[in-house]
Amino acid sequence: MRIKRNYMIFGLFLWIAAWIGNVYYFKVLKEPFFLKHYYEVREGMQTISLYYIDMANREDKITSIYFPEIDYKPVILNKTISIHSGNYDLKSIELNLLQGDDKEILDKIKNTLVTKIEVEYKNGEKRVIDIGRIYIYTENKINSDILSFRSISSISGGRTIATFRANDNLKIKKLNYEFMDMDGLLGLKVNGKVVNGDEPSTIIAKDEELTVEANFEFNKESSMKYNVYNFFVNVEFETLDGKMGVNSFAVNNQFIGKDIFNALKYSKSGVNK
Amino acid sequence: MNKGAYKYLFWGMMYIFLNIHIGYLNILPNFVGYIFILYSLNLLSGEIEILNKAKLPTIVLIPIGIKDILEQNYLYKLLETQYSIIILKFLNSLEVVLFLYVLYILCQGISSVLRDRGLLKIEKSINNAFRTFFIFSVLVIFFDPFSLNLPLEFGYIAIISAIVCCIIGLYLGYLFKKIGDAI
Repeated sequence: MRIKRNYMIFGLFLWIAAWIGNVYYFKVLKEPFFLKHYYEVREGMQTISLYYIDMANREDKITSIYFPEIDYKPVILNKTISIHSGNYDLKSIELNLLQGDDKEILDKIKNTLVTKIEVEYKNGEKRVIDIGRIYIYTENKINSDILSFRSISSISGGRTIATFRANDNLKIKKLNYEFMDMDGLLGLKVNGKVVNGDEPSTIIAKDEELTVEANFEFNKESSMKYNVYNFFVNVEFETLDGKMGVNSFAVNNQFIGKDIFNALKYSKSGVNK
Repeated sequence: MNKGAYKYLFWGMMYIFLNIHIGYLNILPNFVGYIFILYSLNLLSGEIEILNKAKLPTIVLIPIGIKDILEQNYLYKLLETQYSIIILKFLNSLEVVLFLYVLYILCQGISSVLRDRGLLKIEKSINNAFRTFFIFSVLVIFFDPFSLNLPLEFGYIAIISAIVCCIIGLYLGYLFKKIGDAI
C-alpha cells in the first residue's frame, strides 16, 4: 500500500485544523458550574440535591455550602457523580436541611426563598453563585379527604400524570405551582383537556377519577431545559357546598448526558430564569 | 539478513499494543516498544534503506511513550492543571500519527524485501493487515480532537477502532516474527 505524499500532507493539515478548532471550542471549567435549580421543598423533606458540572477526573474541591440570604449552612451529606460524559461530570451534592426535628432551625428556614449560595473551596476561596429559586418548607395545605391521591407516573420526555379520586362532587378551580411566572415551563391538562392558566371548571362527580397531566414544554432552543426542576403542582377544588381544598403532586425533570455539553454554553452567561 | 531484528520488532509491537496494569502502573509501557523498534530499524536500515526515514519519528516517540507508564486517568489527576486534558490528548493523538508513519515505512520496507525473495504470500498478508490498521488508525486520529467536545456516547467509535488497531497490531507483530523465521 503506497500513500501519495500529497495525501499525507493533506491529512496532516486536516488533523491540525481539527485540533485547532476543537481546542478553540473546548471549555475548561476553572471551577464547578452550578445549574439553576427551581425547587419547592415541603416540610418533611429533609434533604435536597444541588447539581453542578465539573471537569472529569478532577478532585472535588467544595468543602461547604452556605445560604447567605437566610444565614444558614446545611450539612453536606455526600457528593456523587450523576452522569459522566466525555471530559465533564455532572455531580450532585446532597444537603441536609434539617436534622431530626430541631424546632429552632425549622422556624428559621421555614417559608424562606434561597436564590444564592456561597460555595467554599478547599483553598479557602468563596464564591457567591446564583442558584435559581429554592422555596424552603412552603406551607402544605393538602386536603386528601375530599380529593384523594391515587397514583403518579413519570414518562420520559418530562411528562407526569397524576390520578386522583373525588370523594364528593366537586369542581376543579385552578391549577398552580410556584414558578407560574416562567413562561412556557409547564403544559397542564385536566382529564385530557389543555388548561392554560385559566379556570378549568371541570366538574368531577363523587367516586370519579381525575387525571392531571404536567408536561415540561421547553422549546428546543430554550436554555430552560438545562435547569433542574422539582416542585409541586397544586390542584385547587371546591365542593358543591362551598368547601375549598387543595391536593398536589410532584413534578421533576431529568438531565441527560449530552445536555452537559449544551448546558455549558451558559456557564458564562447564566441560564435563563 | 539480521533475523534478530524481526524478533525485536515482534517484541516492540507486543509492548506497544498490550497494556497490562498493576494498579496505576503499566508493566508493558509503549516507550520500551519504541526502543525495540528503533533498535531493529538500526539493524535493518543497512539492508533496507527506506527504513532510515522512520528513525527520527521513532526517536520522537520514545519520550512521548514514557507517559504510558501511568494509567491515563491517574495521570490526569496527577497533572492537575487546567489544560492537562488537552495536552495529554494531543500527545496521544501525536503518538498515533507518528507511529502510523513508522509502521507505514516498516511495512513498505519489509514488503520490498519479501517481494525480492519471492515470499509473496506473507507480503500480501502484511499489506492487507496494514491497510486495515491504517483505516482504523485514521478513525482514532480524527476522533481524538473531537473527543474534547463530543459526549461520551460517541467514544464507542474510538474504542472499537482502538481495539481493532490493537488486534491488527499484534497480528503484524506475529507476521514480523514469522518473517524472521522464514528468511
